[in-house]
Amino acid sequence: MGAPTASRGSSAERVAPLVWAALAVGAALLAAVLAQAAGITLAATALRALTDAAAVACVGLGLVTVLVPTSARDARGTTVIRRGDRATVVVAGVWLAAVLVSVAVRSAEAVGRPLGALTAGDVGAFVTRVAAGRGTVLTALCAAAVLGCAVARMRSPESVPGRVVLVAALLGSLTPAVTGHTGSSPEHSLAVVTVAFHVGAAALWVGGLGVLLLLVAPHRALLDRGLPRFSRIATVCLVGTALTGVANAVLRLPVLGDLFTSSYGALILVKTGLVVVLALLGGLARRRLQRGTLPVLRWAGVEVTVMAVTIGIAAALSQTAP
Amino acid sequence: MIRLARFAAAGLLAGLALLLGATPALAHAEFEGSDPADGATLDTGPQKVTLTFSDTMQQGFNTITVIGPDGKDYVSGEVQAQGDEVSATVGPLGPAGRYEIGYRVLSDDGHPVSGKVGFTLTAAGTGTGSSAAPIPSADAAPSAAPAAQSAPAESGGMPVWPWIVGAVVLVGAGVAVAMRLGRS
Repeated sequence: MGAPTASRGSSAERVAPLVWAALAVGAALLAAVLAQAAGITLAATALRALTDAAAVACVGLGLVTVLVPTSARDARGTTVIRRGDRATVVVAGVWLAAVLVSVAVRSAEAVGRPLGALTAGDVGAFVTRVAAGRGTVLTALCAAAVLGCAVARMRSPESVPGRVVLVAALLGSLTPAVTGHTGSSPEHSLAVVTVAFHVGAAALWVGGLGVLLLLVAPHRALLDRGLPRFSRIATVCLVGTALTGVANAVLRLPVLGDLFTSSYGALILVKTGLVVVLALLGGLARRRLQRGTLPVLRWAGVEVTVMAVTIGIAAALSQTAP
Repeated sequence: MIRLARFAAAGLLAGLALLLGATPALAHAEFEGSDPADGATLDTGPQKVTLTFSDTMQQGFNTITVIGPDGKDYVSGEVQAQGDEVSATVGPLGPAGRYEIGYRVLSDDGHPVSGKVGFTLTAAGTGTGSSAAPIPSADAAPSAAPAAQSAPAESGGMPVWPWIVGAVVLVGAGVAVAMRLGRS
C-alpha cells in the first residue's frame, strides 16, 4: 500500500476485500480447530465469520456518505458514493445469501439431522422457538433492508439517505452477537449491552478503515477531508471496543484464572494482543496525520488485515462457551 | 459534527430498541442435575428420568436415551420439556447393572449440549428395551449424525435444501440484474 494516488487500479479494490474475507474465515476455522469448540460444526463457524465480515463491510460502506462530506460532493465525491452503493449491493447480497445458508446449517445442527434431510418444519421450529433462530431472522431482514436500500440508492442516490443503510447494517451486525452465548453470564443484561457496543464500535472502526482505504484514499482531496472525520470516529470506537471487550470478558469468565487455563481465555488473550497491535498502528497513523506527513495509509492495509484476523477469531469466540 | 452526533444518536437509539426487544433467555444451557442422580444406586427402575438445566428448555429439540448394560434403550415415549427440565418416561428396566442416561438438548443460543450421567440398578427388572439408536453427539457434524428420534415431527416432510439453494440463487440473480441495470 504505497502513497495514495488517483491512478490506483481497481484490481486492488476487488482483490483486497476477498483476501480480507478469506483471512477472517481462515482465522475463525483455525481458532475453532485449536480451541476444539464443542457442539458446533466448522461450517457454522465459517459461515459466522463470513456473515460477520459481510456485515462489517456493509457498515463501512454505509459510512461512506458520512466520510465524504456534502460539501465535497463534486464529480469525484459523487463517483465515490456511487461506487460505494454498487459495492453495497454486492456485499449485501453475499451477506443475505450467507445468512440464509447459515439458517439451514444451524437448524440442522439444532435438530441433529443431516442437511439433506432437514425439513421445512425443522427450520420453522428453529427460527420461531429458539432465540438464536429468531436472531438469524432479524439478521436476514437487516441484510435484505441494506440490499434493498442499496439497490434503490444505485438507481437514484437521493431516494434513501445513506444513514439508513448504515443503521440497518449496524443492527444486522449486532443481532448475531446479542443472541450468542453472552446470556449465560449472571449479569445478563449488562453483558448484552456491552457486547452490542463492542460489536457496533468494532464494525464502524474496521469497516470504516477498509472503505476509506479502498474507496476514498485514491482521491487525495476527498481523503484530506474524510481522514480527520474517520480518525475521530476510529479513536472513539477503539476505546469503546477495548473497554467493552474487557468488561465482557470479565462478565463472562467465572474465575479470572480461566483466562490462562481455558481455550476461551486463550482466544481472549489473542484478541487482546491483536487489539493492542491495532491501537499502535492507529496511533501511528493519527500522529502522522497530525504532523501532516503522508503516506498516512502505508500501514492501513496491514491494519485492516490484522482486523480481519481479529474478526475471524471473534467469530470462533462467539461460538465457544467460556 | 452535528451530523455525526445525530447519526451516532440514531445508531444508539436503534441499538437500544433492538436490545430491549431481545428476549431475556439467550443462554447456553448448562446441565445442573438429574433424577435419578449421577452415580445413584437403585433397587427398582425409575418411572421417568428428569434432567435439569440452567435455562428454560424448548420442546421438540431434545433427545434422551437410557442405555442398559445390554445395550438396549429403555426410554418409552416422547421427550418432554417443561420449564428448565427435560424428561422422558422409562419402561421397566432389564438386567441389573449400569445404565447410562445420554442427553442432547438445545440451548436457546442454538447450540446443542450433550452429555451422559449414569446410575446402577441392583435388581433386574422385567423390561426388554428397544434397540438403541446412537444419540447424536453435539460434537459430531450434522451430516454424520443420525436422525434424532425426538426431533420435531415431519410436519413439512419435504427437504428444505432446494428452497435454500433457490433463495441463494434468487439473491444472486437479483444482485446481478441490479448491477447490470445500474451500470447505465
